[in-house]
Amino acid sequence: MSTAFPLLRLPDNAQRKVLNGFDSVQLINFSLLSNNAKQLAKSLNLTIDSINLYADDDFIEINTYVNYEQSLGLAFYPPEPSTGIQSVRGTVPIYVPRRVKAEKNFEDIMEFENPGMSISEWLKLLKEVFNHPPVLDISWTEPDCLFDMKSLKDTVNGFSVGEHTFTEQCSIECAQLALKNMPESKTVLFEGPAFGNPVDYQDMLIQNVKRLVIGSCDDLHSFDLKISLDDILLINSEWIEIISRHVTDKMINRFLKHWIKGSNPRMEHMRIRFEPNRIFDKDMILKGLKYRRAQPIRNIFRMINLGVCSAEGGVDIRRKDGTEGTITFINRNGNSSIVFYVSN
Amino acid sequence: MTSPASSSEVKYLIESSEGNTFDVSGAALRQSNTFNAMFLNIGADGPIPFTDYNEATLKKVFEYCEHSVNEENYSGPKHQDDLSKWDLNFFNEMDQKMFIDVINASNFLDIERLTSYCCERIARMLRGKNTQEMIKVITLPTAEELEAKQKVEEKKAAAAKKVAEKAAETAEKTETLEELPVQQLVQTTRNKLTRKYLSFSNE
Repeated sequence: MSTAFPLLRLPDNAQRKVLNGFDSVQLINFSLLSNNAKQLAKSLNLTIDSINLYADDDFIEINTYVNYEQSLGLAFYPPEPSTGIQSVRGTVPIYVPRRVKAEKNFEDIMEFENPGMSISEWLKLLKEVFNHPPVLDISWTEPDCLFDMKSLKDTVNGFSVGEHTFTEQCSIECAQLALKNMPESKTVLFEGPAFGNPVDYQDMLIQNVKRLVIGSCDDLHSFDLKISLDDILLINSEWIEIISRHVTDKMINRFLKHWIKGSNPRMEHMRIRFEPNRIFDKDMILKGLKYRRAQPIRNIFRMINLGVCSAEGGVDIRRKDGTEGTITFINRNGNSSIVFYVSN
Repeated sequence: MTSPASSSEVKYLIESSEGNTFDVSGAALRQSNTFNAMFLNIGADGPIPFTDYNEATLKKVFEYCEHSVNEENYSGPKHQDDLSKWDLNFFNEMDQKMFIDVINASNFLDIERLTSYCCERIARMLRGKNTQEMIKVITLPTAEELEAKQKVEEKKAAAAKKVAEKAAETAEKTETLEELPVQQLVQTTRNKLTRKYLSFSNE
């Protein structure tokens, strides 16, 4: 077939069948052909579960999963190579990329000239083609965080930021700058080694985000979180996750006593993850507390809500205002954690 | 030719846009969901009119159906690399115009296997191409062409309605006792007896 193929003149059903044979990179490229092509791509009703934007210093990257089975990555490269002059943190405007590199399942598929679209337009395209709600997550990986925050906010205009993840080489200063400019995110994750001492960034612990995660599930040793009881008591999020091998049984006991007296009033769920195969001293954790064995059915119901398959040996404690909380000790497949669930 | 489609030996007459007719086996025709929905259980009195498609296209489509009669039930598109030598020859010997006509006819007749193989072939042609490269391979329709396409779709819907009406008309005509299969004959007789009994009871 040497002459151009009239794909968009085929019956709608046949066009959709052709597009069903496309991978996600092909589909995005196809949707740029025309508005009709975009509508056709959209009509496949493919979905993405989230859009993740990485604001690296050298390039900006978007990652997502299409239909939970295929990852799609787009890296946007700046118009000019770096001049070697060190830019000042938070001053570099978001560029209109010159080149785009597309990845499928983390393998490079192609690199091409950007057809004049801003990163904001690329984000909108993804949202439209994959029928995604206007929410995206931002991951911060670089220590200097060069991009101008206002420019970045304009880029994600039309989306709300669901998660800020501060990871890899991201610095505390970068996180502070990001949260100051985009404080509306519901979840904040401190995953990078720069966040090992929460005493250094207590201002960010008290931001009352809905969900706060401190620590890295992947590597307990490269990010050795040394969180104190005072730090934990400062956190006023609904959902708190802490991953650390330095939280002692005695600290947990003292935290629970503070909770009974009224600390962390918004907290609904807390999970503390430890090093694998941690042995809990339940007597120490529950020392001095009035508790009773949790009702098995209620306990299981709560655990299902938390996405945990089973839990045994949970205990109920009661706060001064009558609110109940259930503490559960989990040791499964080498993973050790304590889950504390507060009744509404 | 009129026939219930219970036997694979049964031949049906197909009428093309030129008004020409030719035979197709019942087994081959049954790969068409459109045929199954319209004619399979009622038979057809006279040639089946697929008059939106020319003889060469219809023959090509049914050549594929005849060939794949004994293949396993269709279970999703096959990778092009897994196609047989016969399949590859079948596709390779078509020029672009014939290929498009075959897709259109196969899509109308709802022959899942053939439509899917054709579409997978197009998807493969575009694999690894960025937008600029796709523009060179795909002709984009103009606004006028899009309007014309919509009219064609409407015309096809009207034609499909006409075929369905003709099928219904044929079904009415063929509802004679001697042409019905045994089961249907028993049921029809039972219905008639019931109606007769009810009319007696009412009297």
